[in-house]
Amino acid sequence: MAVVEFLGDLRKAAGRSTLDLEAGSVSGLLAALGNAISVQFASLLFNDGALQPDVEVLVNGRNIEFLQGLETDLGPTDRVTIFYSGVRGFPGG
Amino acid sequence: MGGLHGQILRVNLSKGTCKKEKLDPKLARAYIGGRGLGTKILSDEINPTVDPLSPNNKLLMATGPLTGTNASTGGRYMVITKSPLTGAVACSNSGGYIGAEIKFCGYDLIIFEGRAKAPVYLWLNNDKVEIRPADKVWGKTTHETEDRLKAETHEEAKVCSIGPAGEKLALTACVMNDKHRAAGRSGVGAVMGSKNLKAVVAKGFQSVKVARPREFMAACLAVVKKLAESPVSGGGLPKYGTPILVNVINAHGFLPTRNFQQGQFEGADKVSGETIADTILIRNKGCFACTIACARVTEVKEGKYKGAGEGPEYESDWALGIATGVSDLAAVTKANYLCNELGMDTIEAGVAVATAMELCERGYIPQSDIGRPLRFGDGDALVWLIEEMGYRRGFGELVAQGGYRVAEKYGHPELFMGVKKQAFPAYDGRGAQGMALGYATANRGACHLRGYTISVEVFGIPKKMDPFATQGKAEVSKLFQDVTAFVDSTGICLFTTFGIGAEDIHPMLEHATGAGYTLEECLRIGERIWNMERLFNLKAGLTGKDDTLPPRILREGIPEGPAKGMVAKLPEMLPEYYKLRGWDSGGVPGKAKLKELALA
Repeated sequence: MAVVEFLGDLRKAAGRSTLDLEAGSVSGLLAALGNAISVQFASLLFNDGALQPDVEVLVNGRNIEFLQGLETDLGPTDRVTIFYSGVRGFPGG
Repeated sequence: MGGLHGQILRVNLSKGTCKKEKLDPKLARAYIGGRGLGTKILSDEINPTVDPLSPNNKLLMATGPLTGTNASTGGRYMVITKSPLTGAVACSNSGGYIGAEIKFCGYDLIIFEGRAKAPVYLWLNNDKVEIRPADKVWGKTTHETEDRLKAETHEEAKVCSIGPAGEKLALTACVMNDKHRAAGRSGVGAVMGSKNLKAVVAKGFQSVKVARPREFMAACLAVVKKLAESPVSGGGLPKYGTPILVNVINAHGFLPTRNFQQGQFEGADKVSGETIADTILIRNKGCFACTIACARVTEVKEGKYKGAGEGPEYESDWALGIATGVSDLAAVTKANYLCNELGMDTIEAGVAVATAMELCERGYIPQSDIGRPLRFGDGDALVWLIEEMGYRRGFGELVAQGGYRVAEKYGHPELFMGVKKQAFPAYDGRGAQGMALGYATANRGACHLRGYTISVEVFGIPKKMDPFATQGKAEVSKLFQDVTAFVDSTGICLFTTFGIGAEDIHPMLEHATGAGYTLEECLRIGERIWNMERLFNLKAGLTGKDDTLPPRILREGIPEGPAKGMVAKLPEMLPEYYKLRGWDSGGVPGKAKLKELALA
């Protein structure tokens, strides 16, 4: 299972700072967040097959922009870190 | 020129005289104000080989044309001198309220020269000036000093001062203002102490006139809107402050840990912005005219480190915490409060402690020299040593001189993590190549603020660049350095550049001054300032050989984590950087470049 780590306001939005999740790719993981947390939370990060603006995703500390983007493969010991590059507030928060 | 009064105050501390002088408008036009104008005057008036702690050095406090106006964050001032820590030019920037208040007294810039026979403070009482005895506050903390001097002068006066560290000429000493803001780097507090100058107190009622008030306000309001809409300046910074960076940089694998021995800290979350927000944060706070408000008002409510103050900010949190391996937020916060009260640069102080810790753990410093165990992760030892440093007593007397002097004394200068004897800030250049280049080339020594490539290497502002790559880093470093020099000269805060660019600052500057600046000229002035600082340093005896990094950073890979195996690839970037700058292979500006910039 990959470990997903949320930083900044995403922790409040997710209701936790980390989560173990099984997924084969970053896009799969982001979609799985809808079931694991909530559809509303997942839509903060990912919509219509693309990352929301200002959302950054690292796999083992490397931004996916320098890997294979949303199709970056995930293995069972990978660590995925998600944060806002501006750390915006959670809507309504 | 609007935005400036056209008036300098020259204070001769040896003679005890104060003289109001006209500011040369041509100089103001060519260098704008703040960092540019102050460094130009310093360069013209002192010999760069001067002993920084002698009466022949000068200390300037410089504002910009936007200081004291309605421009968002228009409260900055600069403390400019020759640094006793590095031997290079020093220019330390601070916010708070003192900069605006100096402007309200009618001065664009103050020049301190000579040395007073006994401790004094300067009282700027609107358009009147007095040099007053400071014997009653000499030896007091910056907080006690501010309270006492306000009681003596005006309850709403603003104060900048040195603490015991500056009085005792500690090279880690800074100039504090408004109790919790600092002109931090490069030992500027020691220069103030060497002049027996304890404080500047100001209360003024003179407004700052701008050339085109309507257009100026429109430009200011446009900036306020953009800053509010930016996720950084309008979201992250007010909410979490800069400590939000702890977990972000740790996740990237280049959070310098235990004196740069590792790139990730297992205790990072315990001292992170998220934890600060959940535990010790009371509220955020802003400086004069600031619409960002990133400062942290904090309180440790119980335990042996109970107390209240402001901070820690990211750099302080890192230097006093992660660099020293301390994950006890209460201890880190206490150490931060002590640095503010005793008047020390948190970065320099924290890295000095970390240097001592590594030397100790490796057996290079006998415990008998210290008087107690000193190991990474020991929060009690951290707090104890910071206090000893602030008063320069016991082992603290040496450590107060900064990490380079500690490492050198014990025969291992290679264990000092910094450049030009100034400590690195909170990003390991092995993992962020642009920062490595920036550290090596910054005119004041290792500095994250001179060319903050983390903007592109982590946040993608304005575009994303791979932190591990060297391609393009020379060009972006030069650009950021020049833009920063421009921003530092206007009187507004560098943090605005998370939300706006030079193209947004230019209209505010132009409508304030009415000087006919174009955007291109503003950027060229930034380049002029950078080259002027370089020339000062060359005359002071620094050379291209000083544009380097410690062996650990150049040759030892980060041992674990996302940046495992990475070293700083400076040799790949530096020649290209010199070429882009129009400098020779030794880092000396060429005649053509100097002529182009009107420096020859």
